[in-house]
Amino acid sequence: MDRREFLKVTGMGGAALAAGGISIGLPKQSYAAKKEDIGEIKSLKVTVISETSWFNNDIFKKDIMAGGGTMANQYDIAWDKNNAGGYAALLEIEQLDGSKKKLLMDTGWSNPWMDYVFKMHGIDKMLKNKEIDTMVLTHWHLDHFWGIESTLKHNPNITIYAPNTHYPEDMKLLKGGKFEKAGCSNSVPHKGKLVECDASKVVKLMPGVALKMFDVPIILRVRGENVLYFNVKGKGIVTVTGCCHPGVLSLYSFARNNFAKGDDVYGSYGGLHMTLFETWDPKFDDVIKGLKAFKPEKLGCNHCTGWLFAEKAAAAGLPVVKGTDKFRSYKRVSSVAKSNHVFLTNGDTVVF
Amino acid sequence: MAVQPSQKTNYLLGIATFIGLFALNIGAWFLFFNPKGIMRLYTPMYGFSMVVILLAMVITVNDLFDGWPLRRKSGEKLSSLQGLLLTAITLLLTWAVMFGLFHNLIGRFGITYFSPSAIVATGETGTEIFNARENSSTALIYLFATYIWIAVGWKTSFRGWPWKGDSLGTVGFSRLMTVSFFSVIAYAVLFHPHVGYLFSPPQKLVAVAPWWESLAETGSAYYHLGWVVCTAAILIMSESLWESYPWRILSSEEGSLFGGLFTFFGSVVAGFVMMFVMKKGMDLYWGAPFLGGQYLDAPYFRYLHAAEMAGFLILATYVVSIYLGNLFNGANLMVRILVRTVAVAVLATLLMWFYYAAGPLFLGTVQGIAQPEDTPLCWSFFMISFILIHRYFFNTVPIREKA
Repeated sequence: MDRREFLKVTGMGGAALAAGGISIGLPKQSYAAKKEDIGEIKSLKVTVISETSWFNNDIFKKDIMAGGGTMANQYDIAWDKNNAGGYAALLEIEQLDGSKKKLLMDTGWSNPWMDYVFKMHGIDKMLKNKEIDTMVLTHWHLDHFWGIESTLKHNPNITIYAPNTHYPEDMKLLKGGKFEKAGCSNSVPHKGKLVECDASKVVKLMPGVALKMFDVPIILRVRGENVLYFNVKGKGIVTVTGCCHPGVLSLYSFARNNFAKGDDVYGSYGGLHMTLFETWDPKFDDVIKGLKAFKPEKLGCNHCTGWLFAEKAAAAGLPVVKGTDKFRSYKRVSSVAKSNHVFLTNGDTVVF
Repeated sequence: MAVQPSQKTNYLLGIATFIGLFALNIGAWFLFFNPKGIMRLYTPMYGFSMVVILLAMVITVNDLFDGWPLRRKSGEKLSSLQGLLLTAITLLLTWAVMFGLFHNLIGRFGITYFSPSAIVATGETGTEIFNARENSSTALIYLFATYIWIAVGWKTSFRGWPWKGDSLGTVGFSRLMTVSFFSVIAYAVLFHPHVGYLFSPPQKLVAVAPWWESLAETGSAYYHLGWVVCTAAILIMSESLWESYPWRILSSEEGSLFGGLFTFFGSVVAGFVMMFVMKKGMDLYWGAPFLGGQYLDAPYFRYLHAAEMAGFLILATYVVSIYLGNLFNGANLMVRILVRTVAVAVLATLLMWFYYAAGPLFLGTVQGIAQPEDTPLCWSFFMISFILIHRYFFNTVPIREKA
């Protein structure tokens, strides 16, 4: 073959490959589909029961490192029990007719710590008297789930919405089990309804409140996170998350593509999974710029958002909700806590 | 090194040999990297940096030095003992470069971010040992990915030029100096700005802000990693499958300055085209990414995933060319190229399927795509290192002996 022939045939081959490439690249999801109307609520109040999942970042990271890195199975890691706290929030929803409903989001990690914070906020009584009869488990991470006994001992029949991407170890703990090496246990089997959320459906919990599971791989071998969407009348969409592993802008994008009035993003509460270990990356600058484009009006962030991200987001002009010093009244505080109030910390509230 | 069309191939033996090597690789992965395994070094950047440096050292020993000092003349067959010695030298170099040269010399006495302990010693925000080790490893990954690209690009583009007739040692050291020189420049421009911004406060006085942000919709240097690995894939596919076309149009077997420049910069253009074709495919499949999106929606993930797919293409290219004798050696050049390229694309897809579907079982990874703590590049580069060691240090035993 001479060079002229080679060039000719290469050109034809390139055109064929390009055509083939276009024909196989079909979009997975059609955004022309009808958008879902999830209804409206009057308001949402979030109380931070505990956002200090652990108290010392360095100890937490040392445990992960010793246990095999970020993809290791969380049940195979020997965690420092004294470093364990937990993540949980109380969500109070006011419907348009004025009726109110309380949801518990997550149940923390250390049972002694969760017992302490539940008592402090009266969650124990709300569980006992069925004021809280539903818990949304955002994901199966230790700091959101392993304190399950603290909830079940007050109400073993509580309805739990959880991602269907669980492992046998998760079910063992939920049904009553113990993991010696990891240092977690539950002596009160769950007897209520377990609603397993899958990524293909949006679950409407009540008018104006929807639950969507995003099947994303997460550190420590966990998969999938439940995200709560609220449509607050006159304000817009509010996302409430445990860790927001799928990415806050992806949540906004999902609302925009799938919910009626989903373009109107009002704000967010929860962990945003950014500078979890207080270290930076240019991709976080991308997020700050992207957030500014969506123009949210209220960002209540804590937990795995990282103080560093919250500081930089506030400095960039994003509407970061200021916290208070209430967290200092708790018996333990995080080693990375600062006095600049860019976090909604333990005991703080935010209303959307 | 291109496989010659005249070589006879025993496909069954080739497949069996590859499966044996694959099993050995999975065993080694379990020992060193598997999150459920023994040493669990895939944290991920720490283990990934070891793999990238290993591959860089394999390429240094073979592509730059041609097996010198154990091989005295190019093409000279190595004994098994010599193969073992070259493997030992490669492993020793990997260890010495990572821990000696970077962690303990350059990092401690020159550029802080190359040494985890030097980063920790600064006492700045977030600089504890885990973050420090990951950040230091990220810098090493970028530096040695650049080195691999320049080394492969230099050998493929300039071939023997300008040291024709010199001894292997002289050529080896000359190539090493040249490749290192250009690698440092390329790394400084393409990746150093990202590493400088891995810290808080950003290291503005030693690194400019990522200058490609408006082009790429991300400040992450995964943008560059994407086209760099795609370019390496183009060069390796051209050399192994396409019988050095299209570069052969203007370059000679002996190598020349003009032919080298044409090949080197032509492959960069082709690498960019490959990355953007892959990215377009992802955009059509997953929808357009957007600034600040994460996981599948992240622009930086799309570039990284282009690199990951190119990594599987490189791996499949070596399997087809080394273990399957390039499959088809008849007809005319274009048919040969087409058959081999399609075979490589199919095999790369199968390998990718293996990684994502069977990875949780065999490699200890987490099911799902776009996990920030996991990149298939680590495993594919590890497997490529095994294949190159087998091919160049052990003469692809037992295939070559029986052929």
